[in-house]
Amino acid sequence: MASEDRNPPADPTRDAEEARWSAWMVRANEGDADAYARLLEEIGGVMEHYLRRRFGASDFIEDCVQECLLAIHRARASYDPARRFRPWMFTIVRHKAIDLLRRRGTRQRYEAVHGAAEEPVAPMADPTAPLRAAEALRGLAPEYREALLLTKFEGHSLDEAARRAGVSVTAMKSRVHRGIQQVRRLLARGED
Amino acid sequence: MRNRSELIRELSAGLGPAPRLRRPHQLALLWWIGTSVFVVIAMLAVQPMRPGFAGQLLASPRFAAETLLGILAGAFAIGVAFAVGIPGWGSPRRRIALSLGLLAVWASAYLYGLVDPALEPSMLGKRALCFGEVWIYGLPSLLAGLLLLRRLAPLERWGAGLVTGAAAGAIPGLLMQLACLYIPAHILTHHLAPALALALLGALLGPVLLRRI
Repeated sequence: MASEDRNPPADPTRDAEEARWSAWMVRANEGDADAYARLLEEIGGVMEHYLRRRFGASDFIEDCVQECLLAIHRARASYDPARRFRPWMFTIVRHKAIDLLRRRGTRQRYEAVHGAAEEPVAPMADPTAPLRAAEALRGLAPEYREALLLTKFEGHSLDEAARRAGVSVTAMKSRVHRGIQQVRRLLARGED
Repeated sequence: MRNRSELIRELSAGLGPAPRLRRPHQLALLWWIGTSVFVVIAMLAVQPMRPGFAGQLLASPRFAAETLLGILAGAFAIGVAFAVGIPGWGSPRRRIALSLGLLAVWASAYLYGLVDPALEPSMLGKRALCFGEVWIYGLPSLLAGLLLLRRLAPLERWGAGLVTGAAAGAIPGLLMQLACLYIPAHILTHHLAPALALALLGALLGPVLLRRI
């Protein structure tokens, strides 16, 4: 399990943050909208920092933060004030990041064929984003990094990605799957 | 995607109190007791237990150990199902694997029984529909478990469904060893195979019936 679930070293700043978030969450679960808004603002920033350190400045980050905030909202009744807030939150963040990464290539290809869904797609913030994602994913083995970049960040189909990488479709599928497993471990390595 | 501040405003606007959190082990205990009582009553309504099963439990330590292992494996499985409903309670996959491992150890006791049975194989207590009974008692138990799990937030919905199904099958599957005939091959094919099928059904129903977080 992630390092934050074991006994983390004492850190007064983190302890204060933990106590504040936990108190806000308890109040939010009692219906205090102000406490909830403050909590979401603050943890949204923490999630962004956490994801940016792992995926670089990709346009994936903002989507992921918002998905995580929605997930926190849907799961808020499952927060147990007797337990620490951070493991609860980061478990949801890791799960949503992997989930979004898995769905991402499919969605990009769908939009390429059928056009964007209900909302206009924000213009690509930065054409070098895939390169910076590659830098951020440097912890992965090169073949897995390449597979994820081609399918999840550049939006190629498995066929196209396999052709570009010069491997079979089966091998590409396996590399994407293993790449996601490695990302899961990368995310579990620590929270910030 | 919309602006983050806008999303936060929407999420916090008109925020009501969240439903009170029921502790996972309380929900698991509630389900386990309710399911066990339901299965025993339903089984007795169909046919009495095998004559002399209590004496066999006392006389054969291996039979008693098999039964105890089944109780522990089923109880642990449902405990895991509800524990994985709370994000951050350890590693869900590891717990699920441990639970399935324990159930496999229980089943392997009957596999070993094929060569060296714990009790003298006998037709005593034969029930005509034991295979169907495990299904009939296990299915509502599985659905009840999934409904209770909807109160929590399982991230691994298939895994939560899998262990709920395994626990729902394990209870009637185990009680059949006390109610139906004792022949290890029959136990594996008529009592435990439907329990395994319920586990697989749970893995399929989990993503459908449990809330996506």
